[in-house]
Amino acid sequence: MTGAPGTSAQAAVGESYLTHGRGIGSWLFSLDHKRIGIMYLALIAFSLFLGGVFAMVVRFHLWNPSGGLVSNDAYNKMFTLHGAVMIFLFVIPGIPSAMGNFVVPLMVGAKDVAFPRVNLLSFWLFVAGAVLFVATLVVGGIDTGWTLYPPYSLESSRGLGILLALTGVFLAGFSSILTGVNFIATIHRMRAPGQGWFDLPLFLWALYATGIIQIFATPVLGITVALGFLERVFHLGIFMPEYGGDPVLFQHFFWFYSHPAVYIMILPAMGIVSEVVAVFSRKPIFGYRFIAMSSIAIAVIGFLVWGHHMFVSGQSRWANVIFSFLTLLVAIPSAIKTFNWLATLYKGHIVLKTPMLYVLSFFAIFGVGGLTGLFLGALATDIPLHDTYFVVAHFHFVMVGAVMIAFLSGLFYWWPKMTGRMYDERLGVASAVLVFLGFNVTFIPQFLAGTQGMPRRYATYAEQFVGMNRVSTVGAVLLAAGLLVALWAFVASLRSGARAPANPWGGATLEWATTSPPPHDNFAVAPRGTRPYDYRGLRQEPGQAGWVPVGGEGAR
Amino acid sequence: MSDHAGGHAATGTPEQRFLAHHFRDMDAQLQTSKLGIWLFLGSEVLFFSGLFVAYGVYRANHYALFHYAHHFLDWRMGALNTVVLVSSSLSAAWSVRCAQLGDRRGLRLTLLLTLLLAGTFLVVKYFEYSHKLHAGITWGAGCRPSPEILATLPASVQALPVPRDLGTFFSIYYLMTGLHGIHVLVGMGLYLWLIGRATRGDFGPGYYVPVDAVALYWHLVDMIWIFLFPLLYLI
Amino acid sequence: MIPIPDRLVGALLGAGPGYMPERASSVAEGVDQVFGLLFWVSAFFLAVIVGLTIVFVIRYRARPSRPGPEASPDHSTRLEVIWTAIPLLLVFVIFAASTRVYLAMTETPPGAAPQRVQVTGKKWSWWFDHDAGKGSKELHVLLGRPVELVLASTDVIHSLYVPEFRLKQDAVPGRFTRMVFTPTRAGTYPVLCTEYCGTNHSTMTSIVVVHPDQASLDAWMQEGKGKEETLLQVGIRAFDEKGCSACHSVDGSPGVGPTFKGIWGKTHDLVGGGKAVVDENYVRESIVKPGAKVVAGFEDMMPPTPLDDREIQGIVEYLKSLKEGT
Repeated sequence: MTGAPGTSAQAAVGESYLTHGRGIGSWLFSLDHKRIGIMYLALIAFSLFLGGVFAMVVRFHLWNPSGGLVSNDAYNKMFTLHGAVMIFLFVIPGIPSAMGNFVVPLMVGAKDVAFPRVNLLSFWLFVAGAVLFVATLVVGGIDTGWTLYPPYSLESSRGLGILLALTGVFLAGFSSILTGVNFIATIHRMRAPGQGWFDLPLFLWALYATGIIQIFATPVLGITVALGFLERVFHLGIFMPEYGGDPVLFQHFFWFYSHPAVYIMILPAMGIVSEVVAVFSRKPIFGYRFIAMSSIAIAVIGFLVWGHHMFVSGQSRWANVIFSFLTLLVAIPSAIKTFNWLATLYKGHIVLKTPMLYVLSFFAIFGVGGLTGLFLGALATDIPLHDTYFVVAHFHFVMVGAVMIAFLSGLFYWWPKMTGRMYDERLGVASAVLVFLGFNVTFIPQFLAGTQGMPRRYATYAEQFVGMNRVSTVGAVLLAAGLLVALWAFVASLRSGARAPANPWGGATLEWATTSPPPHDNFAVAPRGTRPYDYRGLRQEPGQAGWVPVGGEGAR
Repeated sequence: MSDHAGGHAATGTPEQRFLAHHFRDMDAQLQTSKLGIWLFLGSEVLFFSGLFVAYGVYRANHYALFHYAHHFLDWRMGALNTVVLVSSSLSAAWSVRCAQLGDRRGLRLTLLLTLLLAGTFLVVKYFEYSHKLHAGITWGAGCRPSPEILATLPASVQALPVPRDLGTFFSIYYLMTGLHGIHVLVGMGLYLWLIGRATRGDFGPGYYVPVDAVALYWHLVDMIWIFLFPLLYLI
Repeated sequence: MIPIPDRLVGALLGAGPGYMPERASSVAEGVDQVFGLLFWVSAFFLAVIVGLTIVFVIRYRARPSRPGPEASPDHSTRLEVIWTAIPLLLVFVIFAASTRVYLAMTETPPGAAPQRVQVTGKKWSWWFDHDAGKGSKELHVLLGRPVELVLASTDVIHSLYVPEFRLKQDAVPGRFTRMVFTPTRAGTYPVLCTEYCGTNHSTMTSIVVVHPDQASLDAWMQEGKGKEETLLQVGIRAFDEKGCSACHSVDGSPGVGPTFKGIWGKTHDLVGGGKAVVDENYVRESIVKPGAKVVAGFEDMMPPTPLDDREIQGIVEYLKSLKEGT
């Protein structure tokens, strides 16, 4: 590895954050946003694995219409834990907490996030929440579904499991609020000199919009689960009809958070797509301001659509009509983003590396996920499709397809920056292809099953759906194989990957202006803001040396 | 944590020792911290809003019940606590001014005053709670007011039958005032911490972020009570 | 009207919802039309997205003959307005079409006075009280006559779903909800529960029978009436109709509740200590107040079940008949 350009620069800027401070304590109590990001990444990757194992049990159970792999109760616990772990421990925190923590301060040229101690607290709250989720397994699991609807979830026969789960959600939510506060304060106040609002990378606009939702929607989830906890223990009569409460009120509270939470998941994913599509098309992102503003629009409209989860709950007709209209409006900013991304490809210089392959598959999958959302936002079609496999397929397209694929894209994209190592491009490409294929084979049959009337959360099902379910299970195996190949690529990179140059992809955002991996204080000299999508000042060095500023170090 | 101290220690005013390494200067640190606190308070407002919505929904569904139940709450106790909390907000605001002016004695006094007023609030609240719980006024289905307390109600109210679901009102009462009370307790802890630091002489015109932040939090706690008092005691 | 475009439109609309279940209610056609509209709008946009992606990737991919990106603008207000306005317009069209159908779905259909049916959901069965006084595990309605279902639940939230009717409505404890429709095709269709309600959620099924004429419906209504049933028959019917079988087996196989096989006269250990002999009074108490004495090893989760005295007596006879070894 001698002669890699990183080495000489490394000496000048101080040692890498990976070797600054040794021992396990220097990680667990680190205030360095990069180390906290890496710890989040490890925990989130583990959650993805755990949720994936639950998913495989669910899929194999559904191989036969009469179930049979596990008991009905065990199946119900499996899909509950699959949903809860994936949502609260993988898709919600995934991109913001793991990648956001690593990248946000770098992108604004700062040494750290605004409140490093709060950031560490946020991480440990998340760990505590995750531990409580796993603890529910130890005390026998819960079978409430991740939506935790009372009266079922708070019946008096339930024991410790539900209380642990509610507390876990509360802690994970608190962690999410603190992360949002940190990102918004960092983006507002800690931008590099000369970096105006419209010089921000679009990933930051996306995280800014995400932060708004995290701060203003998550507390409602907090009070909801707190009320659920107290209802179960003290029988207050808030949500339980047998004590005079209203179970539909819970649904309002729950979805007031949990629908915006979908945008907590998808907005950062869209942010990654915006970064990657520009860098690998080698031309400025098309319609920067429209993409930025559409993130904010999605965040704002996202607060007003929760009622579409309750079209058949007995909610008044006119409430349904209004929620339906507001829901359909979300299509507009999503369409704007999609068309701007496509226009970015136009006349570009498209480099088909792994992150870009993931992004291209994101276009198709987010397209399907978004467009099938229309069927569920429109009242006439939502009534029959509600709570069928159509819904399951739709939200997996958005939350797994779109979010997880963007997560992987971002991970391959920033991996060299995080670890200082390149990954094997062949393994990356193989994983992207397998994940795309596996994903579609898994979930397209579920649209058909749902349209034909197969309800979700069924441990057993009618004979007519057996074909679709088996294809879906085969797809799940392919998808799992794709994820394992990605894991293989990362492990192999850590063991024997080539040293990464500072700027392997030719990105113009500030994180590429420092070494890979960055030093403890991020930058040797505090950088000035640049135009994030102007690639004219970069030229590619031969071999593995990556991209360097035209005219040497001083040109930036 | 050690790697965040130092760095700037040698330069500038004594308060510079509190400048975290990742901020450009003291002003950037103050402005960033204030933004952070405001965002957190926004989150707090939404946290309480869940309870206010529950209050609104149940009030709309059980109008007569809510009107009946508020007679059990002593508005004089509520009013006393309102005065106590508003005064504490004033002294909290004063403490920020003292810190900005470098008046260390005034700062310690106003912080201590705020803490004492917060304690007074909780003592009054304790008497209200224990009085109710002794009279059988609990939450949910277990709420059975004793004949003695029913006899204290106005005659026109005594004539009415005791509503079956009286506990619904008191579930919400205990929830809202209880959550508010927890916030008062947390505030007292924060003021205790501030008094400790103020005694050590940490705060001055160049560095008063914690005093300012805690005071903002305290004003929110006060504000929430100003909504709770009329909603629960008066209407 | 020129017939060809009409047929074309019909074919296009048909292709979208072609794999939906058959249509058996007055609302199904409207729903399927909206589904068809959405299907083709989605298919069009998906084709645009995927098509443009593929074309651009092929044309503009990095290759030796193509050293860098070509000059092209990085924004265009005109394009942004176009691709904001077109989706916005479509949103209005979709909203109008869907809402019109929805409002019709939720209004009592015109025609004869509706047949009213009280629906009760409980773990894990449905119960339909028809307006002629007949209660049944099955829903029986008449072709062409409007139906109004009033739904309630005795325990947790359930949701009544008939795919062929394109209708679904939650049954929420503590309130009543409503579903209206007119059956348009005689036949038997599945009734499903679509709100997750626990262990046997997926088998909380029933059927709806759409009778072709009044005579057929009347015949069903009269079935079982006038004939004197023995207590045992009453018991077997109650066991079947009130959904006991969802939790209690009669062949000794384990379930959510104790099996009824050989249960009569047995002495059970109870949750929280104590013992109870299964006799007439224990059976009555277990039906009326299920939580009072719960057999050790089981959870207190049975809902109170509304049986009249004769039905309880019948259940007792039935239990007596389920001896060990038969």
